[in-house]
Order: sequence, then structure tokens, then C-alpha cells
Amino acid sequence: MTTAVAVPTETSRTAGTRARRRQRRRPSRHPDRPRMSVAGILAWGAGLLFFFPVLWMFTTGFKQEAEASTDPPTFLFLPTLDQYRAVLGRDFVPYLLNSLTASVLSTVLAIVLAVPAAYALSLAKIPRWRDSLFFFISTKLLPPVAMILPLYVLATNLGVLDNVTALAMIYTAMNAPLAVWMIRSFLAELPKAVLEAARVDGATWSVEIRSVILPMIAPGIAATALICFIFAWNEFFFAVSLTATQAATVPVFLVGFITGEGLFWARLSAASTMAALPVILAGWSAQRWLVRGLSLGAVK
Amino acid sequence: MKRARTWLPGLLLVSPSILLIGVFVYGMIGWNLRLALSDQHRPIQDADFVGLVNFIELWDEARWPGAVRNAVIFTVVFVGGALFMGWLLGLLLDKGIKGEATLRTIYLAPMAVSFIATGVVWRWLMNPAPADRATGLNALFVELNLDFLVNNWWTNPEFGMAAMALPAIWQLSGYIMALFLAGFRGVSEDLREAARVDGCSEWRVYLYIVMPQLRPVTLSVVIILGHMSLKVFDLIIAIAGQQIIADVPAVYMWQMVFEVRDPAVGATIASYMLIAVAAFVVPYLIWSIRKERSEGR
Repeated sequence: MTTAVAVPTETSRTAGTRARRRQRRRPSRHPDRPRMSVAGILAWGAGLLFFFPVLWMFTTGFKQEAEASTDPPTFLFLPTLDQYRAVLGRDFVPYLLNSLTASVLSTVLAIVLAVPAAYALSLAKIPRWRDSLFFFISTKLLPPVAMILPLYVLATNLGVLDNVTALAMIYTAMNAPLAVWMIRSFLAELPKAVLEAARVDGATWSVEIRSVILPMIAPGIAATALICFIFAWNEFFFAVSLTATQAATVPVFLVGFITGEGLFWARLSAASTMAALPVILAGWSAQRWLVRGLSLGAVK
Repeated sequence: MKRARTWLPGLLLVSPSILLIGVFVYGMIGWNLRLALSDQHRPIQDADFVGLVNFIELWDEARWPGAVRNAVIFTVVFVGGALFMGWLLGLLLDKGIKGEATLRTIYLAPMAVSFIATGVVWRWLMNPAPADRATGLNALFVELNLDFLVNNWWTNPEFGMAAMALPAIWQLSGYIMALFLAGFRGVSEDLREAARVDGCSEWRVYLYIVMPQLRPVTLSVVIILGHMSLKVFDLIIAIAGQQIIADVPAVYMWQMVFEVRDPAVGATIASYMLIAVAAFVVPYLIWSIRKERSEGR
């Protein structure tokens, strides 16, 4: 059963919609209508507008401060790494390591918790029981402000204020519901026949999870992990509330930097670009699932 | 015994998650509520139960009504703006445009990045500095001789929060676009074709055939955006810092807890926010669970 890894990335249902979509698009409803090009121009214009802030941030980070303050911004300049050096000179690396630790640790923990939970929820026989558990888990959507004060008191009493591991625990609690929901939606798309065949062959549920289900939903788990990583990496509220000098993460550093360096656009851009790069890469490879993750499977 | 065998493994598999969420979410919410109902106005102090006094007195605080007003303006502009932009972009892409995949990536890109990281761009774009030091959009307006458009953005005491919603609209429009596009594509082509055969013009097809079928998507979008905007914190901190002009409940709460150090008032604000968000989220959850069940999964 180890060869089952070759299961296609797209589960049958999404592949079906895709194929339908493609087929519908190709004969194109109205192949040579002029209106389509108007839509195209508008869409690409909007694309440029959407892209401009990212482009500005990326390019400005490679400028000297004097060039960065010209208006309109120049896009022809001699790139320099001075700003990056300046940011790294501000002890940026410890923050980066804290962010990495908190994000990776919490992502791994969230997945380890979520896979069995999602399995149990998607295969439970009693709908009412399943729904209430599911509801319980999903209430994570409630705002973090409602939990921060007790968490702060708790962390103070336990002596884990300003501690990366404690922060990772909170991120795990924050991401686990999301991971459960996403993995559950991937499980729901598995062909039932395969599972039944495994059971007929006498597989226990642990064997079933390890050698049948896991290989089949591996791409889904990877996508879920990327999304958990993005959310943990971007998280600011808990980080700024529960950390100080030892465990502060990149967003906390950035806010301090913004306050301190107000109008040094080039330097701020360099710092922001460094903070954004990991999630832009992760987001780019998981963009299809980003949507599903945020809407908790309600919209595919 | 036989029944236990059917549900016990399942329960064991879910229980770690249940425990974690039970403690970190429900435990903390309960504790927070207890603080909100007490008179603990200093971090270390014996507290008595005072009922809803804090909830009533909060409305006499000078800052609170302003923060609520800002949150409402922000929510209206943000939800309306992102809804419209997302719908428009989805509609454009539904037409089958060259390079659709690239455009989708571009529209979605802002979503992966936090407000904190994109804050610097928007501080530059919406910099309220006077004309000689103008940057970003104000400088662009001067350049184009559109001086009447030059404005002080989020520092405007009346409607500054409307400008504050711009970065949020930019960030979420791509996501809303993806939801609407999925919705548009979900409307059967046969149905559209039938309407066309009956002599409907293309925009009438959208108005009378496609739009009515998008009501569920629109509802999810409003709920998702609404609950996000009530919680807004990062964006405000990244662009305005803790200036009172851009005060929102989350920033107010944060300052009461971590700077003024008044647990009772902080917990009260948090409780109000919890209630507001729950009003959006709980019906949404019930609705989506029901929908899933009716789809037979």
C-alpha cells in the first residue's frame, strides 16, 4: 500500500470541477466579442493596482534613503543591500528564529492533533454527536481579545511569560481548529470504496490511518500545514501581549522598528520584505487552499 | 460494550484537541467573563462580584463611544468595499480572461502577508504630510493636478476610519474574488444558455440568473468580513500606532490591560467584542454545519 502515494494531488471532485471549468472556458462563451477585451483590460488594470504596493515595498528595500523619498518612485536605480545590512545589524536574527520556532513547532503540533481528530469526526456514525464536537472545535473563530487577559495572568503565574514554547502552545490552540476543519474536508473527498476495501481486508483503524488515509491526503495535509504556518508567522496580537525581549517575533520587531524609524522608507521596506518573504512563498504554493482554509470549508 | 467500541476510539482521537480548545478557549473566555463581572480594577487586588456595573459604566468612559463609532465606520466601509471589489474582480475573471491564473495569484497575494508587513506601504501611500513633503497618493494627486483629492487620510477626525479600511479592502478583495468566482462558476452553464436563447442580454443573464444564486456566497462573505473587521487590531497598530484618532475596541482593550492595567475594564471591552463577533460567527457555524449535513457528508 506504500505505492498509494501516487494518488493525484487533486481529489476526484475538485479535478472534476476543474475539467468542467476548462472545458467551459475553451469554447469561450463568446469567442470574439469585444466586451471580453474590455473585461481583460479592467482585470489587468486592477491587477497592476493590486501589485503596486508589493512592488513598491520590494523595490524600495533595495534603494538608498534619498532615492526612496523621490516621488513618483523611480524604478531605475542601482540596487543596494545597505538597508538589509542595516536591518540585520539591529539584531533582527533572534526575532526571526523566534518566529521560525513558534511557527514550525505550532504547525507540527496542530497537524499531529488535527489528523486523528478530523478522522474521528469525519467517520463518526452519530451525526448529532459529531456536529456538537465540531461546533465546539470551530468556536476558535471567537476573538483572541476575549482570551488574552486570562492567558496573560496564567502565563505570569506559571512563569512562562516571554517564552517561545508557551507562545507556540497558544498558536497550536489557535490553529488546531482550522487544521481539523481543513483536513476533515479533504477526508470527506476520499473515495469511500477505498476505505471500505481496506476494512474488508481487516485493517484496524490505526493501520487504516497510517497506510491508507495518510498517503492519500498527504497533499491536503501539506496545504493545511502551510496555512497554519502562514497564520502563526503573521500572528501579532498574542505575540505583542505575551512576549518582551526573549521571545518576541518578527511582527513585534517590525512594529517597534516602525515606531523607531518613522520615515526611513527604504529601511522599513527592507525589514517588511524580509518579514513577508516566507509567507509570500508559502502563500504562493498554497494559494488554492488559502481560500478553503479561511472560509473553513464552507466555500470550495 | 459493543456500543462503546464504536465510539470510544473516536472519542480518544478527538479528546486532545477538545482538551486543548476547552482550556485555551472556553476556560479563558469564562475567566474573562468573571473578571468583567468583578470590581478588580488593579492587577493585584481582592475582587468582588459586581454584576453588570462595568458593562454599564463603560458607556460613560470618554473613549468607548468613539472607539465603537470608529469600528462601525470601518466595518461598513471595509465590508462594503471588499464585497464590491471581490464581486467585480470575480465577475471580470468569470468572463474567461487571458492570464487568469496569473491574475488570481496577484489578487490573492496580499492576503498571505500580515497587515504589519504591508503597513509600511500604506503608511507611505496614505501619508498625511503637507504638500511639500507629500508621498504616495497625495503626491500622485498633486502631480496630476488633482489637488482637491489631496486629503489627510486616516488622520481625519470625521471619516478617517474610512481611509483606514482601504488597506483592508486591498488585502481581502482577492479572497472574496475567489469565493465569488467559485460561485459564478457554480451556476450551471445550461441555465445561462437557456436564458440567452430566450433572448436575454449578457448583463440580464447576470442580473436575473446568476446573482440570485449567489446569495449563500454573499452571506458567507459578509459574515467572514464582518467578524474580521470587528477584531481589527494589527492594521491600526501598523498604520496609526496607538493614536486615539484611530481608536478601536481592540486597541482600547489592549491599552486598558497592558498599560492602564485595569483588568475589569479590559475584560468588559473584551466581553462586548466577544458578543459582537459571536453574533456573526455562531449563526454562520450553525448554518454551514446544516448545509454540510444536507449535502450528505
